[in-house]
Amino acid sequence: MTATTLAADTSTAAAPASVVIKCIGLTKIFRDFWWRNRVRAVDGIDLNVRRGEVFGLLGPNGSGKSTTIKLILGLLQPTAGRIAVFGKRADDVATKKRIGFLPEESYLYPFLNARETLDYYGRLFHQSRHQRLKRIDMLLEMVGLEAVQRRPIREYSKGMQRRIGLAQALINDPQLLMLDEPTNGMDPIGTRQIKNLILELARHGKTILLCSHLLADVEDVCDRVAIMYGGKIVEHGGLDQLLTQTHTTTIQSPRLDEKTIQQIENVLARQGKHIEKVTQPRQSLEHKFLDLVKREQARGAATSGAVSGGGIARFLTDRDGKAAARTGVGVFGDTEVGVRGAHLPESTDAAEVINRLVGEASAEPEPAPLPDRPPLPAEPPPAEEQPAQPDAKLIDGLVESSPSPAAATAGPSPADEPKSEPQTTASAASGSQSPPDEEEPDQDLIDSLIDQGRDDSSRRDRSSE
Amino acid sequence: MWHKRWFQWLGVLVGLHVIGAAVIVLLISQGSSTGAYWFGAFDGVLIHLWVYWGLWCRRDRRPAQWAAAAIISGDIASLIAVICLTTGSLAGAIAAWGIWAMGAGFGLGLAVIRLVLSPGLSVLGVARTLIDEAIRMKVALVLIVALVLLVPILPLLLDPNERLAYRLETFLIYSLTGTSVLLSLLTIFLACGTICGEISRKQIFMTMTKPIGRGQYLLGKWLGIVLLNGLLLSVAGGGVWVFARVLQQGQARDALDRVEVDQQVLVARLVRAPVPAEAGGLANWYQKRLKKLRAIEPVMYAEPLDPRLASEIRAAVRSDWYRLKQRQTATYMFTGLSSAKGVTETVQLRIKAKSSPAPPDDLIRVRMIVNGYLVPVQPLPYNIAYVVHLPTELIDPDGNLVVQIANINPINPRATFPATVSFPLNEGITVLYTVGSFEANMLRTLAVIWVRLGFLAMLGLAAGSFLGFPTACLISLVIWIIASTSGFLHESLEYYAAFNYDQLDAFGKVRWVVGDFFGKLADGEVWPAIKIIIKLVGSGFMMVVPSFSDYNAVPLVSDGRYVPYGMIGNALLRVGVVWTGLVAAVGYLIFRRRELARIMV
Repeated sequence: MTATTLAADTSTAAAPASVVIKCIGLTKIFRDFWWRNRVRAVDGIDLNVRRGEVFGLLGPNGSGKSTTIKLILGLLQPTAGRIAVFGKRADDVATKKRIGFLPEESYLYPFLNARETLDYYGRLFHQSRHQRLKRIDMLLEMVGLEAVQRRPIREYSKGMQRRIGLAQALINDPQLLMLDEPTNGMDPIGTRQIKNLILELARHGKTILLCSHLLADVEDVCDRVAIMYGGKIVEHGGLDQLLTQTHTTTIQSPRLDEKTIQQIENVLARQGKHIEKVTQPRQSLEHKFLDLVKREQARGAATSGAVSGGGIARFLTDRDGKAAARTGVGVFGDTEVGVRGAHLPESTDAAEVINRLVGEASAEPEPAPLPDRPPLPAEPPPAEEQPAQPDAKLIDGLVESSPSPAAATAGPSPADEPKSEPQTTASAASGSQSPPDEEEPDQDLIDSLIDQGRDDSSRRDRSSE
Repeated sequence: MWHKRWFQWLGVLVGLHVIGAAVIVLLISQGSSTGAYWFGAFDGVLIHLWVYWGLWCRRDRRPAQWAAAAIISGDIASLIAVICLTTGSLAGAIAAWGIWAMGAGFGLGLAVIRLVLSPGLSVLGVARTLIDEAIRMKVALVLIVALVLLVPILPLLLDPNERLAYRLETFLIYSLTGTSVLLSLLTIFLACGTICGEISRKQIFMTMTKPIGRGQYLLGKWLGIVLLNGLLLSVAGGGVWVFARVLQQGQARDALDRVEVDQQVLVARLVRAPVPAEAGGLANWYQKRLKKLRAIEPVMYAEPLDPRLASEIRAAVRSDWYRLKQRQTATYMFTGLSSAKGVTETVQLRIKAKSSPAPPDDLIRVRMIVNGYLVPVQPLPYNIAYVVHLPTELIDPDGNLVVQIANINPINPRATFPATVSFPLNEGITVLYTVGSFEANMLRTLAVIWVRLGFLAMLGLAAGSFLGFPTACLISLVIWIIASTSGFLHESLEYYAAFNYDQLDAFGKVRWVVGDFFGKLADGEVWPAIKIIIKLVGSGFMMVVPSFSDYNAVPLVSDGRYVPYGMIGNALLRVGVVWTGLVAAVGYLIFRRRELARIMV
């Protein structure tokens, strides 16, 4: 069977129900006028995107990501290989009802305004006037363009056009959302909102194929990724599997003085370990920026651009409109959602880490489990507003929480807090300055904490056996 | 909340009208017409200001924008009209109002079409967006504005000293031809530009990743263009009708001019051509003439007779029939006039005569007997159509009207001018009678134009779906020009290189052409052989282009002749269904396989 025949025979290659996109040996060669192979854009890739997952397609510019997406969408025809989307051919018209697509740029009609644009795309899904009006209102509110909905698209900034592009991709409440460079041209607010939206949609069972070369975006939201280079997939798998540094442990705690650090150093020394780096986290620029914008919005400062939108459009999460109210999630609203904790395995429960440090220093640490998608918490207050706590009180808290690891994972974990970039202040070897008003840590408490950690770790070992 | 404000605003508006009207009535009843005039003006200004304020408050709403555009442009048009009236130019005032009315009609029609296309169907969605695109596309907008300006301005360009019937006829020809040409250009540019433009701007990515097939996409685009054409044709046709009726009210040069306007231009008349009264007349005369010629030139006129010679003999015989030497009489019989008896009181015998040599006073005198009755006829103006109104009672029970025309001075036969009188072929002598109204004729004409535009729309879309904008436009324009001049081109090809194979079957024709080609080459006639190839290529090309000249109703309607329903039916079937369907099928097959994305790696 020739490659072309294979490509044409896709309809018979029905994928399992759990697989939304299936590509086998997908190849795309662009030929020139003389039918010579000019560019091998996609080179025999195999791809499975499962229902309900956020799948990232990574790669540098020109690696074939967008071509792959266009092949999946039927905008291009494969030179060889097969594609099945929801078990049907890529160019099957009926399947498109279940797909939302945001291309790398928002190719919109410049003469239509936002409302007319969404109305047009709603018609293409055979939506009734009532349904279109309802969804358009929700989406415009969600992407924060309600105030400028009557302005022609040509007057929109690139970011505003991206927002409308995103809204049109969601107008059919798609089961599969394909986003090609979704944060392209977006300001930090929009970028964060899109990431929050992706997480929220994924939480409601949507399948998302994300194509980007912005690694931070992908890392924050994706379950699995495939990294493309030269038209081939060079690496693929779960983010935890790919990124977890199993040989290093990070503990995050309120500020420690020099003596406490020294004591921990001593504890570690008894285990044959040492502190490599002591850092003091600082607030990320993203959070600083978002705080400033939020403050200006609260002050009522005028803007001709997009504003922070409302919560996620209800039809995207719950047809009865109850989900948003139940979860209280404001994906596009002022209530920002933190980055996804599931993919930050270094931010696991502090007590558990200490237990590991003390009790299982020599053992190979287990990879952090992929928890169910946690309810997205509200944004924490800015770092400078957090009151400085004495170390002893923190340790008290740790001691109280450490006996019950299950209870610790159920509540908001440090992983759900805004991601902060570490600022290296001093290493243990060079010695760091402790604040003058710091109290001496209670050595008894530390000892009991260590003992408790040992008990917990031995209990876990027994249960795992 | 805004509803409350809206009703308050409406209440004030109504109040201003009522109070204004009451005060004006009061002032008039008190005999103060000047006061009423000035108060009316003041109240009008106040009302306008109030309306403007209301629209300004709702300026973010599309209906308010449309209403504002209509009211402001109406005010400007009225201002221009008032200025024209004060300078004594009624035509200018009518043109100003006409432009506004056509523009407003277009806007209103656009709103109706948008409403019609509002249901949530993908084909309708594409059609509606195309219309939105068209009114924002610069080329299309220029053509639409030109169309809206053409009809009202054209009457201003006509020579007021010309005969009214001629002016009216000229207006109808130019306005309808101009409308047809402008809409054809608009259709081609729009159809060629919309798909290839969407592909190059990648807007098609967003559409074709939605549940819409490529055939539906093409259909939606076509529907949008066809509806837009329908709207523009309606607006232009309405304008032509209104201005034709306005022109009709103008000053006629004389009574004859008035009759021509009322009974020969703004009507729908059926035309009957004459046949020889004696059985087998023309055929007998042809044989007699051939026999005579064969006696003189036996070789040239030997059997089988060259078809070109046969055609020339037929033309000569017919021409002789329309030629009267001094004191000679010819008989022309018009058949099938029974239907005229029921629908009209008179039939029109139209005669256009020439004389060789021309009479000194340019008047040709003939005697006419119709079905045995001597009919008094005024001297015929040289080479100008003259109409004799004959009562339908003269038509015999079989529906025939036998007209005998003698080249004799009816008053003094001895004073007959020594010249040969002739009637041009086809239009020299005809009988016409009214069977319908000008309005219905106009509608049929517009319908035929619409069908042709539908074909051009599909042609442009098909070309634009796989070619770039310039190439698609070029091909569409060439096909449009060839289709429009197909009658002339057919005739030219016929004369360019004659194929004398009328009696042969298809296979015989092929053999004949091949034999003729090689025969000419063998005889060293290289150029005639090349002409055969050129004619074959030309004929082949003509076969793949529909013949628009067969469906051109403009000359008929401008001459007050009936546009038959058969023409619409034929146009609909051949151009609208067969040709448009063929082009649509080809375009779809190409577009279906086309990759919409380009290389992006």
